[in-house]
Amino acid sequence: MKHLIIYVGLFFLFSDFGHASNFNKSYADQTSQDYSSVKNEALKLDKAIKAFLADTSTDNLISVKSIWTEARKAYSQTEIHRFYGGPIDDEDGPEGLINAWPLDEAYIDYVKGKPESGIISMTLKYPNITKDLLIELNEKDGEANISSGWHAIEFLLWGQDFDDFGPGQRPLSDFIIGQNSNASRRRDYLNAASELLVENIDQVLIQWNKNDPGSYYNEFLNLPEPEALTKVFTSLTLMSSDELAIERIFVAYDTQFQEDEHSCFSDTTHFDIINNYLGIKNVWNVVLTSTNIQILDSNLVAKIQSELASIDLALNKFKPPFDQAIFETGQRAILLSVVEGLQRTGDLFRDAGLKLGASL
Amino acid sequence: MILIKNIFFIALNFAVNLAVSLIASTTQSYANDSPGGTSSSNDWSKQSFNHPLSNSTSLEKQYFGVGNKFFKQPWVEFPSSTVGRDGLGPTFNAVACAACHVNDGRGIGFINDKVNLSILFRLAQSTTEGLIPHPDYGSQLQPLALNGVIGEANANVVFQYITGTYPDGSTYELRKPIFNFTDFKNSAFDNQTQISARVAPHIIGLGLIEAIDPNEILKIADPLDSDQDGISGRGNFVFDIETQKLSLGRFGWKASQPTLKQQNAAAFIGDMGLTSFLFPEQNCPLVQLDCLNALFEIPYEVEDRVLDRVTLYTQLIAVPKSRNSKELDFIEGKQIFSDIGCVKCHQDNYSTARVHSIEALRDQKISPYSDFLLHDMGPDLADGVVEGLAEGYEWRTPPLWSLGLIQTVNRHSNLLHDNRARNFEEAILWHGGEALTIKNNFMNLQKSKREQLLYFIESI
Repeated sequence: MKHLIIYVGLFFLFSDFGHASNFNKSYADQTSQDYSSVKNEALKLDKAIKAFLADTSTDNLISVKSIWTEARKAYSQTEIHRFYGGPIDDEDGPEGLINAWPLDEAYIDYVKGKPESGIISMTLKYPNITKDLLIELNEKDGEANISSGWHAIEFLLWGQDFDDFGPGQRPLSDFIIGQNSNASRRRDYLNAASELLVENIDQVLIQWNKNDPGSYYNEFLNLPEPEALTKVFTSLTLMSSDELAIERIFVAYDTQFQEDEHSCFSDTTHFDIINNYLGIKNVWNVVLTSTNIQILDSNLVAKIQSELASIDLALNKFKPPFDQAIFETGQRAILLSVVEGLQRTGDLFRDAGLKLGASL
Repeated sequence: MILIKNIFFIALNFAVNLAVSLIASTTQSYANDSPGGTSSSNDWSKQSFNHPLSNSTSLEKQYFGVGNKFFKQPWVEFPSSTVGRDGLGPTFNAVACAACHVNDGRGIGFINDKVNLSILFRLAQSTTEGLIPHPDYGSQLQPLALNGVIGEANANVVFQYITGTYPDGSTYELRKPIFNFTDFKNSAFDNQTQISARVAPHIIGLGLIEAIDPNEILKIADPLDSDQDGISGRGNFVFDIETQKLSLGRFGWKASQPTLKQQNAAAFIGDMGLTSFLFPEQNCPLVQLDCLNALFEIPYEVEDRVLDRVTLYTQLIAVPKSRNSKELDFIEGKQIFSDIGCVKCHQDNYSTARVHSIEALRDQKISPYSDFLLHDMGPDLADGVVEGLAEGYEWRTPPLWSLGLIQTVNRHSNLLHDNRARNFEEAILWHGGEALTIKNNFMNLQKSKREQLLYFIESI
């Protein structure tokens, strides 16, 4: 009888192997679609930056900032595709060029107390500011001197944030030739950083192109399902319980360094958090709809859903800006509940991944 | 139907769990496979050096994450919007701890003839009054600097190749690095300049090492070699800034730092130019005007709580379990390790103290494969830099645990203080001084026995 139970059990197990690539395909399609959205947003941003440079007005600066914010939201949702050595962060992956942080602002432009610092001020050393220069300087000495990516553009648009209650306030005159001696170089920098961002995102997107037989997309499709699950659950557990919970929320909660947040110039860190979290939920949803989820103890799935529901509630009660919330008792309690919820969710993801066949 | 299916799976799960627990209970009878005791971690991947002690609390895991972030993220120039991590330089070796301790592992040292930033150079100048810090560069060379400040010098390397033969006729080749320096900011080094190259080591298990009672370490010290076994071994006694007392040194290539907090603070100032309450002075030698001009009057660049978090982080990094501990070659290799005398210095049996603020570190049975004492390693490895009691020819026995994983974590297998050895075999062949007899024992082994020994060392 015992044997019979196991054999019938095995029959169900194997009968579901017919859908084995279902998960791989759903995940690859989701990822492809995610990066495709980012590409569109980055193109919009580039267009807006070019319009701003053609007509350098306060209105156009406001408009560029709001488009940056929208584009950044789309990117934050893709961060769930990190941590397993995929196209975004394998050895040649452009993650460092796209999203590196924190930024050494003084490496890029003037800062308070150093009016002549940064690449923008170094006219003799770097006569022309181009994409190639930014790539070269981003890898200078193999060091983490950040010259490109979302936060470089953010710094150029908003400037340093010394306002306790709002974002940075870079004057428009910084971009007007004749009103600021480095305006022309700053404009070149903004344009080059924006074009480079589009290129770097494209570099990831083409690897998730389903129509190219040699792409990572097709390689991923052909992975044995346990290997694909290992990658995706590595990312789910690390993104929840480590990257988002600890690095992006708990660190600032703990240190109370006001600017210890991801998007510190624009004060949009709450969007980073919410969209990182949405990315986690999107991928968990792929797992729910495309794997043999019945393998999981229904209790485990219910626990995960209940943790996610609590995090949803907490995030709804959260009041930005993040750099103020870390000082306020009520908001701190909310943040800590999100941290602990994400830690528990990460542990539950791990249990789920193991049961589904991932090696974690 | 779904209910029935669930029952089948519960049955299946039960069977699988039973099998897994049977395997687990068999494994536990091999004490060899947990060099970090019950705190050992269970991952042999590229990330294997980046896990908290497996018995740590969830609060400790949160703080581990905070410390990890400060360890990995680059420090930036003051002033910046990221006030918690600015103050880099003016001169420095690297912008982040992790730039050298990549993945909490070991620096690569060289890429072709270029000296990678993961090797730093300690300096001293011989004078009629004895050794002093180098007048133009201090006691450590900082090749990098902020924009507008000039780095102190650049280092290159050429290798001298040395060949030799085992008694059984098989041959080997060693390489000796000869460093040369260019682009001096001030005066060039002269023949009175003493230089000691040091690579960034892997940083697992440091909390366990710190948790060993000093008397446990000192009880096997034998400075005068009273037992006449050829091995002396003495403690390095160094100044503990916090307690203002001489204390047993146990961290660094010369055991020159007594605590992890002081070790970390020394690395912050020496390697990144970041002041803290333990080292409040910036290191701009007086001749470097651009360096002095780049200084700001600011409080400690590494705030106390940041130093505390980073220190806690370094205390909490787990030691991965050993690999292959059930293989015959491992078991026989372990026997050879003991028989030929490696274990006399690379000690494999300590208990951590019963009292410690971190419960996970208490009373652990550990095998660091080190005695944390200074030994004369012979003229081939010696240089002219003295640290505390440690002479230029004396080195602290480095812990061997998890060194075999460097290949996975850091994609190289270089060893010894300046990464001259390209693998474990070469590292053994460089041993001299007190270890000469034991090296000769190794050379006299049959080839197959040598291989078993190396297999064991790579697996622990």
